[in-house]
Amino acid sequence: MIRSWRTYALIATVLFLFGYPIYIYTDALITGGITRRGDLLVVDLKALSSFEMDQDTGTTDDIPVRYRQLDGKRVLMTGQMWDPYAADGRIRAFTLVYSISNCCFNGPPKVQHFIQATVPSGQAVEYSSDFVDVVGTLHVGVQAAEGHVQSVYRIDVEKVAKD
Amino acid sequence: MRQRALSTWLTTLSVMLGVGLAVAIMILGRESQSLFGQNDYGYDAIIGKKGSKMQLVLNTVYHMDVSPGNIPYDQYTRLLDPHLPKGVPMPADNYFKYVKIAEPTVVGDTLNGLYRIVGVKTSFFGFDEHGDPLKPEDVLDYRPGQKLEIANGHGFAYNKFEAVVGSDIPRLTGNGIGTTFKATHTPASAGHPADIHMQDWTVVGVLAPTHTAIDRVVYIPLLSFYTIAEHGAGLIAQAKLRQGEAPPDVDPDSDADQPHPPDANGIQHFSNYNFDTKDQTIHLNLEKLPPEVWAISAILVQSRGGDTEQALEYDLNNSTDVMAVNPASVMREFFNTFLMPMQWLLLLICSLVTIVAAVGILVSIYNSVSARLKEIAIIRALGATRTTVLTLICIEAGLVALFGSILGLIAGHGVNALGAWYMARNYGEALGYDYVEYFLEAGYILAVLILAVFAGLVPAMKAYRTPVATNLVAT
Repeated sequence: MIRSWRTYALIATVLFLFGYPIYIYTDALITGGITRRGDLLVVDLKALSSFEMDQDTGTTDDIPVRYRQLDGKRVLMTGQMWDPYAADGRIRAFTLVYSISNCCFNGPPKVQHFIQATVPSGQAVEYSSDFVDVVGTLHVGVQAAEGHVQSVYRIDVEKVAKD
Repeated sequence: MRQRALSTWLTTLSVMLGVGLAVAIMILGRESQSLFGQNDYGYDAIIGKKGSKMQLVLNTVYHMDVSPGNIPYDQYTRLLDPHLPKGVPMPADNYFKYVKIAEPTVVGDTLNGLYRIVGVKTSFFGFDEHGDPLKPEDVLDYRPGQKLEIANGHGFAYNKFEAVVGSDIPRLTGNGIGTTFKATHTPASAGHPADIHMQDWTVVGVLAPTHTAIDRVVYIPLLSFYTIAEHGAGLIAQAKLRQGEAPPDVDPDSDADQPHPPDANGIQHFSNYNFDTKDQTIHLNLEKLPPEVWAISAILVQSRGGDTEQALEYDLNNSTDVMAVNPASVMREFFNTFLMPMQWLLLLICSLVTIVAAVGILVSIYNSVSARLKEIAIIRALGATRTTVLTLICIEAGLVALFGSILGLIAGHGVNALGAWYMARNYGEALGYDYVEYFLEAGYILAVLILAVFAGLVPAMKAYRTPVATNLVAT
């Protein structure tokens, strides 16, 4: 029988350090990074974009089924805003990525990493360099032009809030 | 106040200096921001010589700083060449799949040493080489959804010595439609005369205002830029260097071309081109200056969206000679790193200056109240209530602040007017000193008045509490 509280603390720490990452990994493996929160599907951006696809000849069939099934669903995604056309201020369209530094500089960027976000006509959102929560309707499907896949995911934005 | 005229005017002067300084700082803050007034862009990549990203953006978008260098013209054609035979795979260095619109620019000369001359293609203004309008979706936006419009006149011909100028140029230089000008390579400096090219360009169009740096730019046909003898010699030298060969000697101060009389067919022959005097067209000597040796300063690119800008940037930035930058990212970093802290600093200085002015009012009136206890006691003895005395002192503080603020407002704009005159004379860039931001400046003066009245409350309370009997007895 273990009586010392220090021993319990040590066991708890070890369990947390090793168990939590294992839990996160297992959870992502089982759920595919998709969980339900109320009427929203919370989608992990990294999981959503972590699959291989030819950047020129890829088709919608190359997208994993569980992500294709998100087409038309209301989702919540957390990531960073990337607007290639505005340095600051209010913007009407942006790209959402799981991490600007990880997606776009460590190797060639992949089109499935970029969620094209469109704000409803007549509205705009404030640009933020922090991580943001984006709620909206997700559209899934390959759109190609001039021999290159131009888009895989698109979202009609309802709300943007700082994470 | 009249009885203590000197003291009152000195206090008013201190308020004037405080408000004047704050107003001058506000104007400077606003103008430094408007210098980079363009914070959104109709293109998402700029391709240029490898080097400083900031320099490339400043040079290409804001027409400041010097060009980081030239890149081969074929870098531009590779962006737009979809005409590959069937079955031939897209070469790795063909970026057509990433690029929707690309516009080359070339810089190097100025008008009068002040206003930049930029060589562009006719498509920059929405026309093809025959002068027919292009489809709107094939024309580059200078800001999202906004294209350059020619307000007066028409676009230039691609093969004539014609020019289209920004909206401010006629006012600043007198170069309106029908006027001619020469391009200055190097302005005159001590001991050196100005290096002015021999060609004459005629202004045929004036752009509608864009409220960007474009308003102060002179645009000429790309082809005409290469007619200049020095430019041609420089291009050949640069091409030799790119091929790993020794460049021929180029004397930057020599201008090989001098006007020659036309031959029997009306053709004037120059070192880089022939000029047809009948239809005023340029015919570049392609044997001497083939497109392979042409160079450009930068390419403005609108990508096809999605990941294509990132992919283009990644591909080019991993090459050896050229780079692609996203202007919005570069300027976002600049705004966050430099302009934002500067604005906070200016705001802090404004606040401190205002507080100092308010303390000045407080000290001045407090001293005057201390010296006027007898008068206050007499006023009270004559029937004035404590509240009347308190109100009088507060009104006095408010009036001093009001007069000081009005004078300060004039002084602040006056100081900037002097600065604007100096900058316009020496740098060609003037400050907008005469523009009054009513909301900001009136708001600030209202804040000064409120603060002054609150500062006046301290001596007013002293007067309020003045015992009548004691002070009358003391006299």
